[in-house]
Amino acid sequence: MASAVLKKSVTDLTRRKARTIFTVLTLAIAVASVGIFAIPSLMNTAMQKEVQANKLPDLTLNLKPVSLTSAQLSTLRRLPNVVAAEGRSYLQTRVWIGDRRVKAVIISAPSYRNQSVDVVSLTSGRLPSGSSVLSDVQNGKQGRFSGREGSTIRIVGVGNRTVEAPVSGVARNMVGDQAAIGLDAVVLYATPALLTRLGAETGYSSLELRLADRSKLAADRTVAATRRYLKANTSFTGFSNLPELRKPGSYPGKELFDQLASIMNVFTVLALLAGLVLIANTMTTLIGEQRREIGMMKAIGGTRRQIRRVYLRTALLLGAAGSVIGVGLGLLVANMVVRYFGSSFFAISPGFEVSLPVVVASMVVGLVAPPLAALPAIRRGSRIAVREALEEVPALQGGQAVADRALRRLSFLPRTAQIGVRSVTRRGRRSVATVAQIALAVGTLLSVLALINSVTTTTNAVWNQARWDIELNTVVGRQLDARADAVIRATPGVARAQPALTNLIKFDGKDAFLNGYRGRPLFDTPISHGRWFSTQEAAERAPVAVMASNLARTTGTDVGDHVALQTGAGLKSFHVVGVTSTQWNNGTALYVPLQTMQTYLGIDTVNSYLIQTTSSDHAAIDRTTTRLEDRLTAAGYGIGTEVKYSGQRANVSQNKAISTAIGVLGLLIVAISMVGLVNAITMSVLERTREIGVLRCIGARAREIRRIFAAEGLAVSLFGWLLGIPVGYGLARIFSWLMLETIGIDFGFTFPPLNLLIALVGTVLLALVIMQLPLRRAVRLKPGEAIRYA
Amino acid sequence: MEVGTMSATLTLEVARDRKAAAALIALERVEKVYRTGKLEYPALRGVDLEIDAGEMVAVVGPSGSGKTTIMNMITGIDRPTGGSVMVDGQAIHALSEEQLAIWRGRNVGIVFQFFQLLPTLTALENAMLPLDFARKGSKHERYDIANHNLELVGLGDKLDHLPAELSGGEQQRVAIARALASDPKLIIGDEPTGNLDTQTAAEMFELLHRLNDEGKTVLYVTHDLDLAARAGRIVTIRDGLVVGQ
Repeated sequence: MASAVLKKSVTDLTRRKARTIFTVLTLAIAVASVGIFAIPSLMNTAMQKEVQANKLPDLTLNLKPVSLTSAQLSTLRRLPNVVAAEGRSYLQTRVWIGDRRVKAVIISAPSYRNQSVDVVSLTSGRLPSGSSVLSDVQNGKQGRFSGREGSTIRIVGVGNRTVEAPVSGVARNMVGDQAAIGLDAVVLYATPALLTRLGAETGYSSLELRLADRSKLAADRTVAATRRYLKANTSFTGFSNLPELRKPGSYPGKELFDQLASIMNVFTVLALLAGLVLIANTMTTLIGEQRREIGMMKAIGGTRRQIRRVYLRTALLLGAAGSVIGVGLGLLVANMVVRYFGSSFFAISPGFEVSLPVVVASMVVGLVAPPLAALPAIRRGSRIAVREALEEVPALQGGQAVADRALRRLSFLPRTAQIGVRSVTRRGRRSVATVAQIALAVGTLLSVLALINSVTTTTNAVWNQARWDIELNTVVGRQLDARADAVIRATPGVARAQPALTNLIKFDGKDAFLNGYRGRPLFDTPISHGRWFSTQEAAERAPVAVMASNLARTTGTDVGDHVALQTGAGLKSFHVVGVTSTQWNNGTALYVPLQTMQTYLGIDTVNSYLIQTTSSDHAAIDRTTTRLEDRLTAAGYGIGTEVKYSGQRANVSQNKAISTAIGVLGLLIVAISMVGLVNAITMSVLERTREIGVLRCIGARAREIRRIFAAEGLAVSLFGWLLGIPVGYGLARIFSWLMLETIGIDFGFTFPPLNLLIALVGTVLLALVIMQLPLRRAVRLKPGEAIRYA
Repeated sequence: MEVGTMSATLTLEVARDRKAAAALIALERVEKVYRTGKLEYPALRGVDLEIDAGEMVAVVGPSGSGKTTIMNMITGIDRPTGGSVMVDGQAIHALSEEQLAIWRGRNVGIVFQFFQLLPTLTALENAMLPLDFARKGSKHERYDIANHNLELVGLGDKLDHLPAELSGGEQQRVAIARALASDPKLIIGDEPTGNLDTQTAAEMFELLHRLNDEGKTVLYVTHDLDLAARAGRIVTIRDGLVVGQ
């Protein structure tokens, strides 16, 4: 008996091969959804590997270029807490790609042979010497410059000299890669000699240090010691920017990824939910079909326990097969997403990685969920009376519930559609599960569309608040002084020029911008509380600040509070006099008088200008931009430019790309749900095989059979769509809140009614397409075989 | 396949010349082999059978003898492996699945052992279904025909009942009303009383008899020799062959 019972568990699977394969694949997709949880950890592993290989600096100090001898650099390396130190020089300029002038950043390290910090690693060719340069791997990937060893590149130098530099190879470096993506520039690695030939100010414009103790206190001490040493021994006057302390485990862009990951997790939970419903649904159907056999086994002496065991084993076998495929599928999907995110946003090419905890979790879900989900159905099945099970004529159930009576009112439909629609209630539990899955899919789709819409609308609205046309910046290298100011103001096409000092800081552990202006900036800064600082306060270098509302909200700051900021000259306290609702700089900026900031940094230069042009014509703006670039470069200033109209376009499309990338994960839920629909219709066709035979016997043609089942599928889809609207509304609210909480940007809330129509059309079309397989099976059934089907 | 179809058509033409005028149903050397995996099971091994219009014929024989297979050949539910099947001048074996479905809907009424009604449709809707498929008449006309047929079988007061709300006998009456929908010349019953108690079975048989009196050709498979004896002719099948008529 035992062996025959055991055999039944297996032969139940081999008897109907197509159905077994379908069930296993369904379970596999559900198990694969667990694999998505691996994405953040896989991404982190890949980035940590990169951080290790790159020897990212723990502390970066930006300075007005200072010349250091190698002996002085060695002394800096011996300062307490310093493990390694390197100097870096930068030149923001342009290069010629054919006839086009393209933004460029030239990075120079004293030696590429022995790098102990911020490593530039060769991917092909050889290290640069003399005038040759390495091209960043992202130049080619971004389609800006595809030159490799053997080619040359023309670099625009200071004072209008152009240098034709041979390319010695291709290299990668985390900071450079990020610059190539984020700054829209060609990134090249050169020798200090080439930088001098290009006319850049000699000396290092940043010092990069790796520390033994990376705590804030120890880092502050190192900053102070470095400042003391530089002041005593070099021409150093002050840091041009606030010291950047990298948090342990952090990397450029980590914050963005963490934010994305938290939103991704919401999708993963939804996908898992959809997967579990799918498992439950599949197993319930499977057991439901075996009622007659259960009756038969009981009739010949099988106990409830024995019968339960038979089906639990079958469920376990299905789960095991589903797990094996699902784990593989999950690994594949997770690695593909990581690869996509890695190459699109972080300039890395992650290798294939396995997250063991997620694999174990997937296996557990795959092995435990199917028997667990099958248990209620197995219990119900094993309790059935023998006579009832054996006499059951499947076609005789249903049609008497309230829902059936309601559906009978749809008498205006063609008969085939009526049969289909009324069938929805025949397997109520399954229909409810399928409707729920489709509702989840529609809800996800609606919320993602709403998210993309809000992000695009808000991004455009923020840019529309800008009254400047060109932004000049010298993030690194020589700063803009009074002479640069004169050059800018004398350039034809410039109507207004506003100097600014912008810095990226950490405030309460959050990324924030510290922006210094002499008064109100050239973009709208509506005040929601308090006031803007006065020109008198600015002139008196008062420690006052206006905080952007998102930063104020996340840090719990309000008008009247005092905030302490780490500046190059130590900790300084600012009095918050107002809160502005501007979303510029993600609504996370702190606005202070320019003069105050300059005093604290010990400088009289700025690193940015907002420029209003005399004409708003795009061609005129472009001409003015070129003129500014030429004149400032000729005067010895390496600058970068951002034109508002193209920046707006780029920003909108980038934000759209990010929100779409998040949305792509949502498609997984749509896929799982649609498998649910295929499952439901396939099972419906299988269960009603005999009925199809009868219909064929009384004159139904293939298209009528097709219409009956298509109507059933469409009815389920339409119910799903209807239920999906409130689900989508709720999810969209959650995402809007999540964006504010995690990314800190108030993208607002939109739920455009047009999207309901898009979702409706999408649901109907997708349902029609994916139902083709089960429908084909239904119409291909031969009446003779269908009638004999049991 | 092309060659096979050609020869079948040729056989059909010859058959038409010889038999069409005489019999409503003509089976000539009909063979049927069922294949399940590696096994081959010959269900019919060269059946010759003729049934004239207006006859009432019972098909009897032990389980697995090929009774149902003969019915399936006549209704086109299954295709013969060899031989020809002519019904009312139509070569059934030469029609496609689609043509067969349409042909059945218009020309044959089938009554199954387990009634096979659609559970979500009312008695009236079930009785109307073949007319809907055949697109015969207007909606009103279809309603009138189905209504008339249900009254004929004694269910005029249960038009809006669902199958689950009807007794076994009543369900089978609905099935007969459905079989009558297209006013077919031929009514086929596969164990039509097999799932009914003796009293109900007798009533059902009376109904079939009445239909035969009205000119319908009635052909039914049964295990019940008493019921078989009440037919005009008994065809006995054994091991896939007609052994007695």
